[in-house]
Amino acid sequence: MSRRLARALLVACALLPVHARAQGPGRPLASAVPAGQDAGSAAEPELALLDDSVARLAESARQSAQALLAAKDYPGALKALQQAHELDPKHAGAAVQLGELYALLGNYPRAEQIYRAALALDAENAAPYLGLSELLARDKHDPARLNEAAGLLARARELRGNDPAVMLRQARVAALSGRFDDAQSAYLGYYELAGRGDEMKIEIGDFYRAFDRTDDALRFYRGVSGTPETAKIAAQRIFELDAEREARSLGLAQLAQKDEPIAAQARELAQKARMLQARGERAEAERLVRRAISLAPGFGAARAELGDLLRAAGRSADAELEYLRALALDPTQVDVHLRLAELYLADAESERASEAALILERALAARPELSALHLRLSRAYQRAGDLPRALFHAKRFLAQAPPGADRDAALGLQRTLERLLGAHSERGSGAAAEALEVGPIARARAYLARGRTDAALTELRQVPNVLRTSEVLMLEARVLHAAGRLSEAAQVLQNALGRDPGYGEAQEELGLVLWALGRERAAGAVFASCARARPTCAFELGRLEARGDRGAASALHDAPRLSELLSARARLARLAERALLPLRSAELQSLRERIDERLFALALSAIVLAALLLSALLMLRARVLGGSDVAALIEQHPEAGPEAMRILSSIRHEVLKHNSMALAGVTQALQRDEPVADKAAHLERALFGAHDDSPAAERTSQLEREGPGARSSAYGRLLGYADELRRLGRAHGVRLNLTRRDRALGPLLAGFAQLARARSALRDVPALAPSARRRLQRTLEQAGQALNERGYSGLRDTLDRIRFCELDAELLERIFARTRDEPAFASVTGSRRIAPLALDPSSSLPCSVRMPEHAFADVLTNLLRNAIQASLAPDLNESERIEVGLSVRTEVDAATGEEHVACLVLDRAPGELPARALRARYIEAGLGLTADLVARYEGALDVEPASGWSKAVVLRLPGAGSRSVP
Amino acid sequence: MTEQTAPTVLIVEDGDEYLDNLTRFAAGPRYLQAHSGAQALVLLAAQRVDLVYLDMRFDRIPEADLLGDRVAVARTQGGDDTRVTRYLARNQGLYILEALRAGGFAELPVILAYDFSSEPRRFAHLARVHPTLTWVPDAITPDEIRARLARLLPGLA
Repeated sequence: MSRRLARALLVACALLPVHARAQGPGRPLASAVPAGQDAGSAAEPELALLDDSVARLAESARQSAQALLAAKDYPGALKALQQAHELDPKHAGAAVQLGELYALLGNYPRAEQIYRAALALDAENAAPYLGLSELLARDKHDPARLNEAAGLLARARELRGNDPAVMLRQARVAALSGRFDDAQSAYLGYYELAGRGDEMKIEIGDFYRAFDRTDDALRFYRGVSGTPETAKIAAQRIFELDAEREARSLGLAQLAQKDEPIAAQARELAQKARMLQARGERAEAERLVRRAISLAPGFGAARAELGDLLRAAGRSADAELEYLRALALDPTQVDVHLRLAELYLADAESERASEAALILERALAARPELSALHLRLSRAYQRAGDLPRALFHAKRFLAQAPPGADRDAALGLQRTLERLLGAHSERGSGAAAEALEVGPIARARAYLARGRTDAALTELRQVPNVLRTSEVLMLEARVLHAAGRLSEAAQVLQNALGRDPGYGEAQEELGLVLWALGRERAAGAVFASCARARPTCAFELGRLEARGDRGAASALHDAPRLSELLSARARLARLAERALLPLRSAELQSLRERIDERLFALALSAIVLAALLLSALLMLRARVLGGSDVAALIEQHPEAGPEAMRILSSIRHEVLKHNSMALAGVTQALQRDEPVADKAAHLERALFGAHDDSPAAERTSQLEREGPGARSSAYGRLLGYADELRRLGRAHGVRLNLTRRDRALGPLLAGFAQLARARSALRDVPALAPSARRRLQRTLEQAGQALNERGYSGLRDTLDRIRFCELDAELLERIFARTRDEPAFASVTGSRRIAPLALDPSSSLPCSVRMPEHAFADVLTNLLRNAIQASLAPDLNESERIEVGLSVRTEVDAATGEEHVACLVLDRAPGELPARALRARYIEAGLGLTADLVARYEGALDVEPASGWSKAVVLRLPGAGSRSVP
Repeated sequence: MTEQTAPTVLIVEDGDEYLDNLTRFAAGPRYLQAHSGAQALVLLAAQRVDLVYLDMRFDRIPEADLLGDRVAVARTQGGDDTRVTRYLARNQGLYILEALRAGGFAELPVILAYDFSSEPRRFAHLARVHPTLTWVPDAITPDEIRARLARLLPGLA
C-alpha cells in the first residue's frame, strides 16, 4: 500500500465514525473529526499525525519482517518488507533487505531496481554495492555490466577496507572480465587474509586454468588435502590437465572434429579473447583463442575469430586458412563467408574478385533473405568484370532494401551498369553514329553483353586514333567505370572533354566517376558546369547534394550539410516543376520525398536537442543555484531539527569557537605589523592540520591531501559536518545547497576556502614581500568577516529556528477533549463518565517547550489516552467517573541552569507503572514509541507519586530558555 | 611583572586549544592547564590561582572523569546511559564550576567559554548560584580577551 493511499485511507477513517486499531505495538490511529469542526481545516494537523502513524506502521512492518526472516518464512518476510518499503521508501536498511530477499527468491530485475534505490538513499552503506554487483556479475557476457560490477565493488572496498568477502567478489568479477592481473591480485589477497580452505584452492586453481596458467593451477590443485570430496575434485582437475598436456604433445588436438561438443572452458577462453581483442590486446587474445581451439578443434567460431586476429595483424594468408577451416566445420556461417569475401576484395591488386563472388553466392544460398548480400555480390561481380550479373544483383538489392546510404550506392551502380549495357550514344544520329556501331565498336558492345569487359576494352583500344572520337572515348570510359577502374575512366573522360569541352554526356559521366572516387567537390563542380544544359546533370547534382542518406540515423549526419540539402531540394523542385525528366519522374519524386523526410527529421532533432539543452541548462541552474538551506529543512521537517541542531552546535564548538580567537589575533598582528610567524603557523595548523607535500598526496582527495591530521582539523571537520547535513537533508527528501543557499554554512565554507588559498602564505609569513603580506592581511580580514560575523550569526539564526510549542490551558484542554472524544471511548463518553480535565490551577502556564506542536500533541494525546484506558479497569464500578488531571511546572536544573517543563498526567488507575517499563519498547498501550518520540526531542518520561492521585506520568521537555547542547 | 608576580590563570579544557591560543594572543598571565574537574581541584589545592578559564564541552575526556550526578541527570534523559554521558560532557563546564564551588573556590573569578546571549534566563539562574561567573562569546578577539583579563586580574599590567 503506497504512502499516499495510506494517508488517504486514514483521513477517510478520521472522517468516519469508525475506530481504527494499530497493526502492532503503537497507538490507535487518529480520531474522528470533532463535532462542529470543518473537515478540511481539521485535516491539516490530522495529516501531520497521520504521517507519524504511517511511520509507525512502517516500523511495525519491518519488525514483522525480521521475525519472519528468523523463522525462514521468506515469502511472508517479502510481503512484510514490501509493505514497509511502500510506507517508508526512504528507509535504506529495509530497502537493502528487500533487495536481498528479491535476489534470494529469484526476482533479479526487481532486486536490481531496489538495490539502485537503496544506493541513492545511503551511499555510505556497503551492502547494496555488494548485492548489486552480484546481480550484475550474473551476466558474464556483458562487458558493460561487468565493468559496473567492478566499479561497485571498488566502492565497497573503500567503505569496508580489506574485507575478504569484497576481495573475493572483486577477484571473480575481474576473472570474468578477462583482467588477469587484477583477478590474481584479489584472489591472492583473499587467500592470505581469509584462510586457505580447499574450496578456495580449487577455485583459484580453476582461475589459473581458465587463463592457461597450467603450472599455477596445478600448484593449487595439489595443495588440496582436506575432505575426501575436495580431494577427489582436485584429483580430477589434475588428471584433466595432465591429459590435455599429453594430447597436445601427441598432436591429437589438431584433428578437426566438427561434431564434437565444445567444452565450456574453450568457450570461456574464446569469450575472454574477445574482450582482450576489444581492448586491443591482440597478442594475448590470439594466445587464448588458440588455446580454445586446441581444447575444442571443432570450435568453428573460434577459428573465425582467429582469422580476424590474423587479418588485423596483416597475415592475410593465415587468416584465409582459418576462415576456410571455419567454413569446413560449419558451411552455414554466413558471417565467415562475408569475412572471407572481404579478405579477397580487400586487396585492390589481386584478381580474386571472382572467388569473392563465388563465396558470396554460397552465403546467399544459405541465407537468401539477407538482401545486403546482393549488393556485395553486385560489387564483387563488378570487380570481376561480370557486369550483367552485377546489374542483376544490384536490382535484386534495390527491390528489397530500405532507404539508406547503401540504397543510394546501389542506385548509382545500377545506373552505371544500365548506361553501359543498355545505352546508346546521345550524340547525333545518322550515318556517323551508325558507322560507330559496326566494327570494333559493335564487337566491344557484344563482348560487354557477355560480360567480357577486358575483351571489350581491347577492341576499343584497337580503334585507330583517327577514329577515336569523343564517343569512342565515352564508351571506353563507361566500360572502365562499370569495371570499377575509376581512375582510368576519369582519365579517358578528361581526354574526351579535352577534345570536346562541351560534351555534356562526358561531363555527366565524369561527375559520376569523380563521385565514385570520393572526389565529391570536384564531382559537384563538373555537374554544376553542365547542369544548365543537361537536366540529368542537374539531377545528379541534386543527388550529390543529398548524398549520405543513412536512413533513421540521417539526422546526425545531415545537420552539418543542411545548406546542401536545401539546395538539392530547390534544384529537384525546379526539375519537377518543369517536367524536364519525364523518364525519371518516379526517381525524382522518390528522392524529393526522401529529402523532405530528412529535413523534417532534422528539424525535429533540432527541436528535441534544443529542448534537451534547455532542460540541461535549467537543471544545471537548479543544481548550482537551487536547493534549500538548513533553516528551510527544519521549517519543512521539524523532526530533523534535533539532529540539525546537534550538527550545527558541533560546528560552532569545534570549528568556530576554538579558532576565531586565533584568526582575529593573526589579523590584528598583521594590521599592527607585529611579529606574526608563530601565530600564523599555529593558525594554519589549527585550521588545516599538518601538511603533506609528498607526490602521492597530490593524487588523493582534497581532504586527504591536507595531511594525516586533516580530518581532525577545523576544515576537515567542517567538510565532514557539511556532508552530514546534506545526508540529513536527503533523508528528508530535501537537497541542501549549503554553499550557495545556507546563511551559516555558505559563509563558513567560503571563508575556509579563502583561508585555504592563503595557506602557504600563512606557513611562511616572514618570507612574504610587503605586498604579499598586505594581501594576506586582506584575505584574513575577509575570511574573518565570513566566519566570525556572517557565519556565526547565520548559525545562531538557524539554531533559533528550532520549533517551540507554546503551551497554554486552551491547548491542553483541546488535546484532552480530542482524546476523550475518540471513538474508542464513545461508549464511555456517551454515558458522561469521563470527567472534564482537572487542570492544576497552580500550573506554570503559559510556557514554551522545544518540540513542534504536532509532536507535543501526539505525545500528550498518547499519555492521556493511556491514562483513560488504564482507568477503565474491568472491576471498576460502572457508575464511577473517570478522572484525569494535568499539571505543568517549570524545573531549573541546579547544576546547568537549564529549564525543563514537566507535564504531569495524573490518573486514578489501579496498578503500578514502573518508570523503566514506561521507557521500554512495546509495552501495553504503545508507550514505547511515545518514549522514542520524546527522546528525539531530548525529553524524558518518568513516573512519580502524586498526592490525591494514583500516579503521575511525567513528560519532561527542554524549555524555551534552555539549550541542552552548547 | 615577572614570572613569579604575574597572575595565574587555570585553563580547564578537554584539549589544548585555549592554552595554545591564550598563550599566544593573550600573553601576560601565567597559564596552567587541567583536563578535567578533578585535575583542576588538585591544582587549585596545590597553588594559588587568580582566575579560572573554563570550557563548557568536554567530549574528549574519559567517561569516568566526567563530574556530575548521573542519577539526577538520568531523570531528564530518560534513564538512557548514553544520553546521560552526552549531557554531562556537553555541560561539563558547569559541573566543574559546581565542584569548584563545593570545593571551597566559590570566590574565584570564572570565565566560561560559552555564549549565553540566546539564553539570558539560564545565565541568570547560574549567576545567582555563582556570582563570580562571567562568559565570553564564541567569536571573541584577543583584544577583548586581554581587556577582560585585565578587568578581572588587577595584577595584570
